[in-house]
This record gives sequence, structure tokens and C-alpha cells, in this order.
Amino acid sequence: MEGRKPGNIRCPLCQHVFDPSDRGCRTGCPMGKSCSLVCCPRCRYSFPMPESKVIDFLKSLFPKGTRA
Amino acid sequence: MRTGTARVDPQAATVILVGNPNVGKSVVFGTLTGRYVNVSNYPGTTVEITRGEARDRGTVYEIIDTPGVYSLLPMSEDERVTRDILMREPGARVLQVCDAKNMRRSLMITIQLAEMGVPLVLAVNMADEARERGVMPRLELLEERFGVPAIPTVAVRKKGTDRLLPLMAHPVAAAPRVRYGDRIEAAIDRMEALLPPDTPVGRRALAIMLLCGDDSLSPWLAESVPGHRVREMNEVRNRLIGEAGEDIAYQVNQTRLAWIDRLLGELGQEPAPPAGRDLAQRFGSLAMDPVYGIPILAGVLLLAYGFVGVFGAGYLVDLFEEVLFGRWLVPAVAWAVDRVLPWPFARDFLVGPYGMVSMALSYAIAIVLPIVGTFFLGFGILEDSGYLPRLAVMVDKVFKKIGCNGKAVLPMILGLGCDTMATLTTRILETRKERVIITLLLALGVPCSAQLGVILGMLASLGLAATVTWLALLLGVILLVGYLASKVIPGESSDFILEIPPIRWPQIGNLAVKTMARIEWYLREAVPLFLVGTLVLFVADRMGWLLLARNVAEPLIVGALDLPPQSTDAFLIGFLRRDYGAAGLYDMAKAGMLTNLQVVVSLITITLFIPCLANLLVIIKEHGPKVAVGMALFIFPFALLVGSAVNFGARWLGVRF
Repeated sequence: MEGRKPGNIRCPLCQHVFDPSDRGCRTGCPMGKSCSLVCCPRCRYSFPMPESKVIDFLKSLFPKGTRA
Repeated sequence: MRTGTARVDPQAATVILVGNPNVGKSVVFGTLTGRYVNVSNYPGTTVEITRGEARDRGTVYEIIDTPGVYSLLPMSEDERVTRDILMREPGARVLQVCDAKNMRRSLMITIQLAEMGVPLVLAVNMADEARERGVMPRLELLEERFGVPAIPTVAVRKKGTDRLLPLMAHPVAAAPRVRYGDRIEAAIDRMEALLPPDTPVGRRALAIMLLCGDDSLSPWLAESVPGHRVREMNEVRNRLIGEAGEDIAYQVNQTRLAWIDRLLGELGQEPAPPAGRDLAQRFGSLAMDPVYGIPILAGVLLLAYGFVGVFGAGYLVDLFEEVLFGRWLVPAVAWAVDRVLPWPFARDFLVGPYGMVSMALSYAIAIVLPIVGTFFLGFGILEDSGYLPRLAVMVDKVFKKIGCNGKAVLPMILGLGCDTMATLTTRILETRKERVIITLLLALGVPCSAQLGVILGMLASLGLAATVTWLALLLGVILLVGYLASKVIPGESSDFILEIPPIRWPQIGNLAVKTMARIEWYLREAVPLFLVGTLVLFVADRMGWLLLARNVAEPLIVGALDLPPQSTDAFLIGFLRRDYGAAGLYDMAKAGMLTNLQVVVSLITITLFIPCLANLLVIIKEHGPKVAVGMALFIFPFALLVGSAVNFGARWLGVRF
């Protein structure tokens, strides 16, 4: 398999670090299809994945140089 | 051994990342390799191994991220995979990521890596948090004792990580040798003598693993050591067990921990943080206090109120609504429609009173977006500064002090993110009665983040008295229902499990990503519903149902709440999304259609009003239609009752806000 592995993320409420894959809230919610919220497995706090398409796009306009 | 489909330069030097779980190893990996990497399962396991490539001054490194481990004497599949990778990558260099706040745990692995004799560099990560807590070890002494570089890093901020790759060019093996006592040392010597001359890692490490009874080495032994030697090794181990007892691994670990404790004592810690840090820590403690925490919360709300209400709801909404939509977008669409689709129906559908552009997009983009955008930014600052967990602890303490069950508190704090998800959270409660009561509490009195943003925006234009009234009433209702719930719910309260981070300045980059992620989430979820809601109003208006609804609702909306009949629309669309309803009221207030008292009454009513469609569907799913209808039948008159009580009470007292 080749692809991007999402890094672990830290819950802003309880600070628990977890792998966000399969942690989407979508399974239980009727709004799930378009929802990017993830739920912390420890405290259940829900928050959007800290990823932004807009910021990714802006970053892609100004690519970093390769490490010297 | 290579796994999966990773495409890696065959000339690349290999660097294996090793560390305890949750020490920021993956962040270090991401910083060194960039974002796109190869992921594969380790052969014969479900354990994922991530590989990437890094370059430094002409040298290409293959970086392997291994599963987090507590020991290299494997007790789990993850630990076995990490140990096996170390054994099967001859010549690899090791970058151990340590947790600066918990060096005792990290050094357990360092000792084992030293015994393996692998070339080693230490990245002492989360150095900022360790310094803030005053537990940062003195790294120059650590480097001296181990003879390998120890670099302080803050991987999430890319601090110190640029020093790691250059050090991987010529790393050396760590020096220290823990002595395990005469009996075990003698057995180690005998075991080492039986091992073949070319072992994949240090013979001492292998000897200790074998003496500790590491069965996972059997395949390697079968491949590399003649059968009679393996039998001799078993005899050495059995003799040691006879002399020292069964628990060799326990004795080895205890010796290592005692050695680490002595070392940490000798290392000492960096000097105490500067006074400013003390001030931050003091503020952090006060923010959790049930007495001092309240004025701090009031101050935080005041700041949010100014930022969201004055800047977001005032300046930004004016810019978006009056300039972008009022002067540009709506006239442009009207002009285009007149020329391309010159039918009154099309014009009405797009730019009429219930038009897709003039109402749905105008509400979503021009009114709600600037308000929730500033609110999300403010909320992100609260999260990243470390205040939010403290607020949760403080609220928990306050609730417990007045006899409320702790279980009633957690979903309410989660509801500030999304009520629908918080309703699903009630599954963690033990009895059905608990789940129903907390679900009711959520549906009744906890505004979701988007609605809270719009409400703050509206309150800001009224002044402090209106805000205090709204807040006091809402808190009063929540506390009252929470208290009653705690009387009905039997059993012990459940405590929070929160790690309290230090108070710190949020990072601009993190805040930007976080705020944009929330705005993108809001746009994806809210705009389609705003369009559907407007379509419902458009059709209802065309069919004459809207007038009918206003007439039916008139005794309540006009008679009890003393609001204009048009505010019925806001309550109707508020059912689709609470922030949409609040935006309707905001629009009316801005157009001068509501007095200050009417704004307060309408906000209190819509905050307590029936939950949004998604939340109601989840309530049906969780508790069945009967309970959902029962809740709706309670909430609907209750919200109107409180709203009309405020209306008549304020009039009687002569309060106009």
C-alpha cells in the first residue's frame, strides 16, 4: 500500500494523542457524510481534523526548497 | 529487510526512529521526511511501518518510523516488530525520540539501545513543556554520561529538529553499561560466549534478552545458532533461574530503573523557568479554581465578546453584508437574472426575500461566516493556550460543589463543539435514565459553537446588561436541570481524565490551520442546509403556508414573546440549524425590526428552543421516537415560557436593556 499516513493528533480538551483514522464521528450522525469532525476516543470531544485544504493550497503556491 | 512497496534509494543510509508511544515520534518523522511517505504492514503482522526519505548535505537517508514501545524486550506485537527491525537493519543508525517530561521511561529504551551497540542520537522532545514544568534534565550531563548527542527538540514547532540529520552522518554507540549483579553478569558472560561472532546487534543485549526468556528470538536462534549451542543456552538460563529465581526480566528491569533514577538524580534539572513562566503557571492554577476561575471566565468571555461581537459581528459583517453582498453580489446576480432568465419567478428564487443568494448565501457567508470565523479563531486560542481544559476542570468543580453529578458536566462541555455529537457521547453513561436526562439537558440549554458565535455577535451590540441576563438565565436553567438530574441519577460521579497542558502562547500556524479547518467544516455542513432551509421558506411563502404559520404562531410569537410576526421564520429555520435561526434574528435586529428587549427575549428563546434536525434525528436514533417527541413537547413550551417570562418580567420591572 502506498499513500499518506495521517499523523497522530492531540485532543485539544484532554490532550490525549490518537490516530484519527477511523475516529470520525460520522458513523453515528446523520450529517456524517460531509462532516470532518473527529472524536477523541478518551473524552469524546469533537473537533475538525486539523487539516485545511485552503492552507494546503496556499502552501502549494509557495513550495519550500529541498533541504540543503 | 525491506517491506512493502517503498521505493527507496538503495544507497541510502537507514535511520530507525525509536521511542515510547506519544513522544512525538511521528511528528519528528514528518519533519524529517516531508508529508508523503510509504506505509506497509510489517510481514506477518498487522503493525504498520512507515518509511520515508530525507536528504541532508548530499546524503540520502531512509527513515523508518517504528511503533511506540516501552521496552525492547517484547511484550506485544508492536514491541516485537520494533525490536526485529533493529535486528534486521544491520548498520542502521538509531534516532531515539525521548519525552523530556518523562525521561525515566525514555531512558529504559536508551539503556537497551546502548546494550545493542547501535549508533545513536537522542532527540529530547517536548522540551518546551518540560521547561515550563521545571523538569527539563541537563542535557550536557546526559550527553557526557551516554557519550551520544542529546538534542532538545519541540517537534511540533520544528525547533531543534534541523540539528538531527547532520548528527546522523557519524553517530556513535552509547557508552553506559548497567551492572546487573554478579550472578546475572556471570550468566551474561556465559551466554555471550555461546553466541555466534556476527550478531545483528550487540551480544550483551541478545544475551540479556535470552536470559530474560525472550521466546520471540527463537526464529533467529533456529537460523543462526547450532542446536547444541541453543541447548547450552537453555542450560545457562535454567542455572540462573535456579540461583536467582524465575523473575529474571523483573530483576533486570528493576536494576535498570534504579540505575536511571540515580542518573536522573545526578543530572539534575535545568534552572527554574523565568518569573513570567511562574506567572503563567499561577494563572493556570487560578483558572481551575472554583472561586477565582469565575472572574477569569468572565474576563475571557468579555474578550471573546469584544472580538466576536464588535470586530466579527460589527465590522466584518458590515463589510460582507453591505459591501460584498449589498453592493456587489446581489445587484450583479439580479442584473444577470434580468438578462438571462427574465422571469419574476427566477428573480424571486435567486434574489427575492427568500432567495438563494439574497437570503441563503447572504446569511451563510455575509452574516454567519464572519461571526463564526472570529469565534472559531477565539475558540482555537482558548484550546491552544491551555485554557479550555482548565475551564472544563473549573466547571466540573463548580458543578460538584453545588451537588451536581460530574456526569452531567462532560457532555455539556462537549456540546459547545457539536450538540449532535455530544448526544452520541451520552452512550458512555451507564443507565438509560442517565442518558435520557443528559440528552434533554443538551437539547435544551447548550448552544453549539456556531450558534454561540452568532448569539455573542448579537449581544455585543446591546451591552453588558443584556449579555449578563442571557448568560445568567442560561446558566440558571442548566444548573437547575443539572441539579435535578443529579438527584434523579443514582451512583458516583465520573471524573475527568484530562492532562492539563501548561499555559502558553498559541502558535500562529496551528491557529490558522485549526480555524480554517473549522470554517471549511462549517461551510460544508451549513451552506447546503441554509439552501434547503431557504428553499422550504421559499416554497412555504409561495404556497401561502408561511402566512398560515405566522397566523398560527401569532399568539405565541406576538402575544407571549412580543416579537414581530416575521420572527416566526427564524424559529422555523432554526429547527434546521440553530445558527441559521439566530442569523435570521440577527438580520432583523440589524434592520431595526427588533428592540433591545426583543433581541434578548428572542435570543433566550432560540437558545433554549428545540434542537436542530441532526440532533433530533440522533435523539430518535438513540432513545426512540417516543422519547424524542416527549423531549420536543417539553422543550418547545419551556423555551416559550422562559422567553415570555423574561419579556413580561422585564416590562414589569421597566428594563429595556
